[in-house]
Amino acid sequence: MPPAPDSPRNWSRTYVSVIIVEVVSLVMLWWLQSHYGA
Amino acid sequence: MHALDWAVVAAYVAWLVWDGVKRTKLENTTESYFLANRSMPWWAVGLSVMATQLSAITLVGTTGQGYNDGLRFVQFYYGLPIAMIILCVTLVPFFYRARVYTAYEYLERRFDLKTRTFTSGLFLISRAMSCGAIAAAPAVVLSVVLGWSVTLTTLLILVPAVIYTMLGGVQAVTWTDVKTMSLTVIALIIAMVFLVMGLPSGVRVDDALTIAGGTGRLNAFDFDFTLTETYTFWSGMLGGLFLMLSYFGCDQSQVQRYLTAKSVDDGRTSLLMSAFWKIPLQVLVLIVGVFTFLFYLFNQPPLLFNPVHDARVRSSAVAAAYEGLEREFQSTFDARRQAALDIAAARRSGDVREQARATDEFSRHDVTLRGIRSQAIGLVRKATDDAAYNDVNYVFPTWITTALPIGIVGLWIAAIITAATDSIAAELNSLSTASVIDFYKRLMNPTATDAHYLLVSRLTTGLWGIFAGFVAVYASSLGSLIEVVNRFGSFFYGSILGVFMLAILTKRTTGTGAFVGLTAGMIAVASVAIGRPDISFLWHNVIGAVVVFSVGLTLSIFNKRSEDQKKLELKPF
Repeated sequence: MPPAPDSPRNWSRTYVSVIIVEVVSLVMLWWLQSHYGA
Repeated sequence: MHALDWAVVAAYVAWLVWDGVKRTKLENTTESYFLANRSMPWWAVGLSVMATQLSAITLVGTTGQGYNDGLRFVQFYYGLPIAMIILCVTLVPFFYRARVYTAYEYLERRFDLKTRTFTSGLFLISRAMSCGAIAAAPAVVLSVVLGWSVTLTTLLILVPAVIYTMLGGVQAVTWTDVKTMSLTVIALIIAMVFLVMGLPSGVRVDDALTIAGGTGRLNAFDFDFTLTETYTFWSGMLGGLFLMLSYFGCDQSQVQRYLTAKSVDDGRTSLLMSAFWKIPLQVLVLIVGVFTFLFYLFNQPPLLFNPVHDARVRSSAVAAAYEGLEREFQSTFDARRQAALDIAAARRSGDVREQARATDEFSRHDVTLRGIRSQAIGLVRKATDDAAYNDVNYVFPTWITTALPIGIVGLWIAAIITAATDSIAAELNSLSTASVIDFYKRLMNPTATDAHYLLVSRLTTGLWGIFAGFVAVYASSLGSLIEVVNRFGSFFYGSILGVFMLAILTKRTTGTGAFVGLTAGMIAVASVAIGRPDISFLWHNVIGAVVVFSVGLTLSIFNKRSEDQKKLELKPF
């Protein structure tokens, strides 16, 4: 089966959104630690 | 377990096997058997990538870690999203354009045959051993919880995996991964609901979090830069980054998942699914563990969660000491529960001083209880010679079988069994691919028909399944070997990543440079592991990759210069 052609999709936005999701996750974990943590 | 629970387990496992076997007729070429004709949708591949990584050890061991240590373990995954982005930019398009079956095939095109054979051989050794360990760990726990022999629980996990992987190939593996990943998430959410509902009246979720937080179980960040501590922010960000780059980029069991996707874009999207969801999912698993701790804060737990060891200690020479500990445990447990209830009551009434007093008392009793448990585990080790015994692995299975209603217990046991089955199936599939493509077809029999290779692939899958079964039964009888086998993989991961870094990031590196670099990296990691056993295994990945990269590149530059010099000397003027 021949390879499907690549789409001209711009991936940099997706990569930035991955970083944003990670930062938001870490901020939420930080809040949990600072609010309830020992 | 109730008959209805067994019916749920049997029905689910039978469905997985039937659905896998019915795909046999679709698998009529090696490309369809190993790569599903590169036609899988991104979401199925993405779930398969996540399911392969999420084994039964995650469901049983990680919830136990949440119970014992809280959220600390999540730091292990902080480097994962960045690793996924790096892989999407670098290795994923390389693999797709090279139209390879295995990651190691690419190394022959870039370097030479010996580098490909060496790395593929390392993969086969480490994965074959870890496949046995992945089966052994849940088999041991299930044998204790269900009261079956380890051989029987090992067969319960391995036989379905071998059948549907042998017959249905990568399509069977991927679609069962999709089902099991969905079941796992549903089972975790159900567990969370029951755990929250299990809090005593008068204790709100907010109070429960305050109590858990007071014990440090909600701490998800440790910024100490120490090489000896496994789970810190830095070990996760750097050591974890290198580990994830190696696992998702250079380990055939993962590379094969995204090679089945329709295009480079679908391959990238499937990997990024883990980048988005892995940390939240891991937090959910650990929070379930934290709430299991809260459940056993208000409901009397046994001193030891492993009933087999409990019985053995009671009939041993240390029985009297054990019973003494049990009495001490009971009174301290009651005092800690009362302190926890006092914290909740003080929070409701807004009495800050009373809350501080109750918190101090709670912490004091909690430390005492930890000490009593440690002493009890010490008695187990003395009475049973099980030096690696870790009670936390039995906490969550005990909660499942004693606190959940009929039917849900079956759902959870099915989730644990099939989480193990799925990870093993993916590994058997990739072991078969590397054996056939990198060794049998490349070195032993390069001119056979595709039908012949397909038959050999199915037989190889079965043989690796039998091998994994033997390793699992043997490993489970030795206890500590499971940990040794798991750490064994970390000897290779960083070094293999170093070879791929040389392949992609440098133009000068020669085959000999990569080969010698790989050997040097493994020697460096082994030296550190033996000479400084206190250094966390996560750093082995960084050390391996850096040594391979620097030695391989330096040697290649030196080699190239001496070759250029020879050419100059031979050149007639």
